Amino acid sequence: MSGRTRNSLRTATPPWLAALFGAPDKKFLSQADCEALVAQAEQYAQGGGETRCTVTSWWSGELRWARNRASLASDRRNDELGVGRRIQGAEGGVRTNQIDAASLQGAVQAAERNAHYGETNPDDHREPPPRFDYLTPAIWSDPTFAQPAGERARAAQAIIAPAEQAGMLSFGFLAVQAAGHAVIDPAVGRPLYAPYTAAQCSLTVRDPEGTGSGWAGASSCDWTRIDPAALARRALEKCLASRHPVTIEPGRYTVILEPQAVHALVRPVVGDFYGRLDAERSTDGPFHLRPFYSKLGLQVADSRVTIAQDPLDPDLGVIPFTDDGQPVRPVTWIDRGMLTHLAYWRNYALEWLHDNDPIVNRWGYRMAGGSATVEDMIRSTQRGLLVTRFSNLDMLDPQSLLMTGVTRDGLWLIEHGTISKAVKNLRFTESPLFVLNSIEMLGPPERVFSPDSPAIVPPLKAHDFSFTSTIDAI
Amino acid sequence: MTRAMNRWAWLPWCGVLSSAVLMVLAPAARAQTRFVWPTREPAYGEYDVEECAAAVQRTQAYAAWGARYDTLTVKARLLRPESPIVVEAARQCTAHLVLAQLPATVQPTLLRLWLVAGEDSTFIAALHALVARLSAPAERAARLADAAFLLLDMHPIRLALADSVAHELDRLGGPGSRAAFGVYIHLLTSAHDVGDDALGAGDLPRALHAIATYAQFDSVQLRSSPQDRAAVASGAAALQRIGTRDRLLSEQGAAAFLDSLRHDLGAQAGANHLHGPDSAGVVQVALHGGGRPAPPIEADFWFGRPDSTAAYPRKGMVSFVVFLDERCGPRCYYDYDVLRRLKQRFGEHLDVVVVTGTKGHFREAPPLDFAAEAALLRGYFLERLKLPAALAVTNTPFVTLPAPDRRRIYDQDGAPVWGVYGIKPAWPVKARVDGFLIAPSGLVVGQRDVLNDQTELTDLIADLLAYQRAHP
Repeated sequence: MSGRTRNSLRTATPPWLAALFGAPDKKFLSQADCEALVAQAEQYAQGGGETRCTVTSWWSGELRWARNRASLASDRRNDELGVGRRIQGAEGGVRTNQIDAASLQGAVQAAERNAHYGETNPDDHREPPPRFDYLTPAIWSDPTFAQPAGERARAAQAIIAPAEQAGMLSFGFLAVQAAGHAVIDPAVGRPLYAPYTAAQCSLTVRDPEGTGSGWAGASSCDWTRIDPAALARRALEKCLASRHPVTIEPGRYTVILEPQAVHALVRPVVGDFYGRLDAERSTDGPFHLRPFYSKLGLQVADSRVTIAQDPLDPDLGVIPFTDDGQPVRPVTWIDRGMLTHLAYWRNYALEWLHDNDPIVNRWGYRMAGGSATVEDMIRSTQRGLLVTRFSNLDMLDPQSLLMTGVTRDGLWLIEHGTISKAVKNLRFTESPLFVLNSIEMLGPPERVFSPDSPAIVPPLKAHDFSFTSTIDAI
Repeated sequence: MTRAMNRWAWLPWCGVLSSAVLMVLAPAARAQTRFVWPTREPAYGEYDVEECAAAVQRTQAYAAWGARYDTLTVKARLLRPESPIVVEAARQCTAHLVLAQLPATVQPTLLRLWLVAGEDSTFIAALHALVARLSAPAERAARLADAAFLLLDMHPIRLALADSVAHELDRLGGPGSRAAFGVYIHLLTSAHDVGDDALGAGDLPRALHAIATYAQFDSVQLRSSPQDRAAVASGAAALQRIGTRDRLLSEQGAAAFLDSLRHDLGAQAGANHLHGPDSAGVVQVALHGGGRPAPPIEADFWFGRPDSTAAYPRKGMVSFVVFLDERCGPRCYYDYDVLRRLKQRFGEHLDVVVVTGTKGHFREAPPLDFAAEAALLRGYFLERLKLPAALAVTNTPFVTLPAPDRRRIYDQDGAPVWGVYGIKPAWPVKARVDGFLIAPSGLVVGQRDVLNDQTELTDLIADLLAYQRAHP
């Protein structure tokens, strides 16, 4: 899985460019490359101690378009090296993307200078290697890695054409990425390396008169699982259906949230699962009653809600180790509505749980769903709103996760079991914890557009969702 | 006009031609800007005073890196010289700075840099110049007091210079008396720590005079302000601590308070120890809590006991029972060294008992049972740290919360408290490190959460042993 040679008509790479940034015809550094790089950095280390490095070497091919015309096509790569030096218990680190010999030596020396401003610890001791085996999730896709720029162009054409034919304007981007992430730390016991791919596609179709907007998007490890034509169709349909919206009074409504909207609400909830990491001093957060007392074992959501992370989930795609070299383990955060786990460091596990292994997973989650489709939910709704997605979210109260934000790219009024009209966007003020306790129906989960961390969420129908004002933006 | 224009018509073509030549001959321009890690030396000569102060501070941190002063006595720490690279950095900085050209707000920074550079005479001269420019006595007093505290804060400590500055405060009379009082407290404490008894004896009457002057100058304020009376009382208590122990102070009227203070301090001026018939008085005085008896130490594991049959703390022995937690780590190295010095000084006449508790784990080792953890604690305290003590290990009781919480709670009331020892209800442990001094009679004589073998702790042990010898 090392970087392969591309077919290229480019002239030979200047030596100075290759020396600084590596050979550009090699998409990203292999495990052997990362280990050689770290070995070279270790040679420059002085003063004893340990050297710990992380390497994220990535390639990305991207195409963006606006107003039905391509605006940017890029082919980028970068090698991000983090060098950490630990000398007599004092730590210092730097990050660089210049991996030539002189830059590497400078980086190691800078890390050592930083370590020399930290406090030494004569009692310094190394953590034992993690006991849990590292899992091997399926996060690599050959077609994604090998995708040529021409294929991205053809996909963009297929996306833009329907909108253009309908007299609409299409905006969006599609990108593929291939990367190798390495953690080389003496404390871990062996070098860790995980190659992975990622693909995203996000597009918005807008009415040139500014009266309608529709959005669709998808993320995956595998480009072949993304159907650009289906996304284009969906965005165009939403745009056409959302034109000439009418104003409705804000208030409490029954809402049908599409998966992208659900993800916007649930993501902060998942973020607070990492609250036990500082549990001794935690004074706020939705999963703590008061300092030292969490809501573990309490019912915090509807009994149909289960939120978990399994690195081996074929649809989720999570690097199986953290930047500290800790293995990512399967964990169920909320099991049938009951809070069952919060993340914690190893010293917390030793101190409080008489346990050896931490839970410090990476971002990414799957929320279990049901069998009801969005159409079923619409048919069952006497009066409500269908929401495509939310944006501009702001946290108002971290204790209750009360948030505010706005709907966008499609909001429709449902009356007597059918969509009656498009309505203007609304601002909501609501807490996902309230929503998760007001669920009426759940649909089958699907992977949503989420470039920074994978998420699989279902559509849901909930009652008493609070909209507080109208907004004029389309 | 046209002829003139024609004359210069060749000029633009020259520009085009020269540009073309340059483009051909010039090396290919680099598309990227290369980042170079900065490694250049500090340019002290270009820094202003605040940049100099920051650079000197960075140099101090760099020079102190990896150095540990845990085994130094307080005296050695106060007299420790500044690192040569720090002195050199300060000298280079101050070489180009002129006090008169600096704003008043940053002049004290330059004064400090002179002290770091070891230019004490320059510092004194500049201080006098600054004070001379001030007209109000209160301002002069404030500037002199700041200078005195700065001198006492330096490495090495400048006792003699601080003393001379304090004398100048005295000469200011009333406005300087309150500041002088505070300076003298600090000065006498430092003199005692350093062992400069002569300076201490000489300044004690000056301290008393400063108190009296302050009380007269500001008697109305003292009468009306409990905070000020408390400040004076605590200062006087500090004077008492350095060798004039007599009675505990309480809030009194200014005149009565000063009268008693004058009488007591005058009687005990210069004394650091009390022996003989007054030792009983010392023991009585030191019984803050009324002399409660020390409960027996009930431990699950004992290591290093001289007498495995006796109950600890042993009757008839002066005992120092210290509660320690290994998680304190290097932060408690000084406390460990105090124990070693105490034992070195008093030998077998002093029982040192270290009490610690189990937690279910030790450092980064996997979860342990009690016996395994006790063995590791013995290895840490007695073998690695080489504490000359008997080690008592108690199994801290705990309650495990039901799943999914699963936490171990080390306190019965459900509020987990870090550092709880298994015998907490019997011993009122208040801090991570807490020491109880126990007389041969079994009474708790003192409790100290900051161990220091150069203050009344050592004095009390010596007094108790002397009393024991005098009353076998």
